[in-house]
Amino acid sequence: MDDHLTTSLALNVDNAFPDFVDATQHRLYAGLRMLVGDDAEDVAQETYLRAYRSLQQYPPSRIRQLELRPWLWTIALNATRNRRRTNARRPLVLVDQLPDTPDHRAEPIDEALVAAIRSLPHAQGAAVVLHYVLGHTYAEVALILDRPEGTVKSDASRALATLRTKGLET
Amino acid sequence: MKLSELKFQAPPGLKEQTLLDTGLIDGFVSLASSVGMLNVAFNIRGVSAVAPSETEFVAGFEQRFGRRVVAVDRLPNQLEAGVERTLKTGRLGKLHVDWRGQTNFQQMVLKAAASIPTGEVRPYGWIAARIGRPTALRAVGSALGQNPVPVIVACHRVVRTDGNLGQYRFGAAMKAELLKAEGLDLRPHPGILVANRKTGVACYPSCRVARRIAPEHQHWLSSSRQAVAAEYRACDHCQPVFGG
Repeated sequence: MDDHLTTSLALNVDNAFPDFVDATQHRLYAGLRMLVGDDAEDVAQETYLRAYRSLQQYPPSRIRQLELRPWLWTIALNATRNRRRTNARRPLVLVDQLPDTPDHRAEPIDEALVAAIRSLPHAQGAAVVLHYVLGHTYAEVALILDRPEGTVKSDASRALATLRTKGLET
Repeated sequence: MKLSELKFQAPPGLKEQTLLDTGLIDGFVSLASSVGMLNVAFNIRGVSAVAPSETEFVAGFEQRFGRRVVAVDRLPNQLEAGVERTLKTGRLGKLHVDWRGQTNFQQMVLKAAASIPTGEVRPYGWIAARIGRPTALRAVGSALGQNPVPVIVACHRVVRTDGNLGQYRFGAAMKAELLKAEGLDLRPHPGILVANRKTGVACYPSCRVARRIAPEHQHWLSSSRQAVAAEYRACDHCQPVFGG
């Protein structure tokens, strides 16, 4: 499917971009929901806008060589990092104070687990979400985060250990 | 719950908002105006289409522009105040318009029409002269007829030389209603130009300078040749064409 998408994006970005969003939005949103919580929709929009602008500027030969999903995640994690930096300067809302409203858009979710993932350091959270939740191989995660595979592996296992000490089944 | 079991569905609006952000589709809202509800479409470049809400808007838009258009709750921040102001004052101002798909000629015609003050009208020949194509009357008419953003770009302020309102995409009745709402006196005039005998200045009848001429100084003219023969000067405000 990715081959087909890269080919059509290389032919005509504008025509193929809606299909690209269709093919990637649920997993992108799922991962972002865990990393940035309620900001997920905003960050996903920003990610797609940046992706679109890049695609418009890339020559077709470069688009054909893209690994679309890891590439999109590289953009998403940059956007996430910026978002975290901005939010760090704002007062935090404690998780306990969040209104207890069911998320009508989502499947049943484990809010405690999601909150715990969000409190992890950026690299650890990203590694655990990309590998354990979204099922990317460690090689892909290393590519996305632009870090050595060994580092990514140890980040992910450190993150898992943290989640387990909090009593969260993983 | 296991990590691999965490599942989320992207919210239904994410794709649409993404396509709006990139300018691949347009959004539209329904807004009140002096002539009823109008659908106003927009994209990242500006306002892209305007039509009365009762028209087949979505189908018509997609057929004409080849892009999807979706209903949204409100205009984007950068357009909201501008569109409101334009609908209220009748002036385009600095409001952005998506001119793609319009030739240079069409854009010149529409921008000239947008420069006509609210509550005043100008003949087709005035636009033609204004853009340096004094004989292109038919082309001016058809460019106005294809105005993608009527009301916002006031093509309804262009009328026939004899003062007859002429045609309008959405019917002559709507053209009359728009002009009436702007305060234009729709009663027929005794001539196509009116001069002030005292100052020697000739105007189009709807010009704000003309409206201040005292009745005893009014000299109604049935052609611009008469104005030339009487050695009247063209008004600085409405700049009537003294060609033929």
